[in-house]
Amino acid sequence: MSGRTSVVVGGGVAGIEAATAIRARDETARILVLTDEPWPYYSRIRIGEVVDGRSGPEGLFLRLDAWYDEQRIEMRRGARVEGIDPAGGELHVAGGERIPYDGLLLAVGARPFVPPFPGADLPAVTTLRRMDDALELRRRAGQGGRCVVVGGGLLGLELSASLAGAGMSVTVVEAAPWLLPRQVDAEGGAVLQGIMERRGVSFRLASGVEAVEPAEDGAVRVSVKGGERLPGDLVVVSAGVRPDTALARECGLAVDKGIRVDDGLRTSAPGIWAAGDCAEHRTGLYGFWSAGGDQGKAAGASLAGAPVAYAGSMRQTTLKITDVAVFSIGDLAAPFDREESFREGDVYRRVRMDAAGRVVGAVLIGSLDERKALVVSSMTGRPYRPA
Amino acid sequence: MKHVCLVCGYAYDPSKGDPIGGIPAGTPFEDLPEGWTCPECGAAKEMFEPEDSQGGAPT
Repeated sequence: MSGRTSVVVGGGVAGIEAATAIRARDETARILVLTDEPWPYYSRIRIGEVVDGRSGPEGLFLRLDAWYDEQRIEMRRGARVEGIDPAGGELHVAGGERIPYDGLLLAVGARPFVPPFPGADLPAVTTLRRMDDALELRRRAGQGGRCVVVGGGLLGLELSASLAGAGMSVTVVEAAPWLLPRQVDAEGGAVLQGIMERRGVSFRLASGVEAVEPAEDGAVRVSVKGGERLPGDLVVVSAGVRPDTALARECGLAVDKGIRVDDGLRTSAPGIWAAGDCAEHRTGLYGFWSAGGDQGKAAGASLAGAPVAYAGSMRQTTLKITDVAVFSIGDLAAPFDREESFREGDVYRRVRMDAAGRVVGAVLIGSLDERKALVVSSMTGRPYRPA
Repeated sequence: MKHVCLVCGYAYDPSKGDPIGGIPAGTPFEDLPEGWTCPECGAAKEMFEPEDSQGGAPT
């Protein structure tokens, strides 16, 4: 395995964990990581801290400069890959450069999904995914004004709190009749809504954006279901992400919702692996940080020749809106045998278990005291024992 | 002993410390300051578990 060139496309958690895993198994390989972002590896899940000013970009960097040298990982920033030639084992980079590889690992991530409503392409309409998006939102939020957030999911709520914290007046437009419909039941949604409303965020539930129209001075009017028109200086769409499959499709890899990978994280083409938000394993798409790391580690090891049998990652989410804690694990829509629930003020808990007492789905709001007990039960399959 | 963040999966390895957070290599998990947080997701120290007590995280 000596003298090989391994190229990783993508500088997020899956890409960096993959590069690290390759180096751990191959002392001599040349390892090149290409990212189209101008930043080194940073914590994407903390970019809300940049939006409301709790941190600058540097505060989110996850490796010291010296680390890249010690690991002998060449990190090329601002490098956009335009094409892959799987038969020739070569990458085409914007600007005309061609990079030959022995092993290629795609960790290109996901892109925000923007529903195709009229006005979606106006300059006032934006998304939050990358560090540069966060810096731009920080700049615009600093001017104050009104913001409409489209989507009341985990990221939409976290973002709403950040924008409200940065001084904007925020209204969230959500299609479901309550907040976090996939993670929380109606009662939990109401608890969460009350907490957010006291922080200055307003809601339009069972609603949806029909169009965004330009108004004076770059502002817009957002038409929502029922005819109401919300004035806004900024519209942030937080309607989920879609795996970035463009490169993979163009070069003929098998793609469904994401780039199809097997338990060794191999794509349909020899010599090409995929990991993270762009990849679709038999256990599904994940789209969250810890799964990206799991897959990156597995894919890197697999590329370096180690036997790998990735069997899926644990599904859990923690929402951090400074003082509002929300945690969800498993699937509240899955069949269950019995449940336990608790509500007192802003503290809410619902735990669903199978016949053996193992957690199948749970949500916590306001207090995370039970989180460890829930994670341990989910991870080990042992019965849930309240903390 | 390594400790794993239950929120994001980050593993604190005492032999490496947390260079970004200013924690020198060789610092046991127990000696991390109370205000120390997970560098990857910002979770508090109490959200970490010893690596071998989880019954094996999926890999």
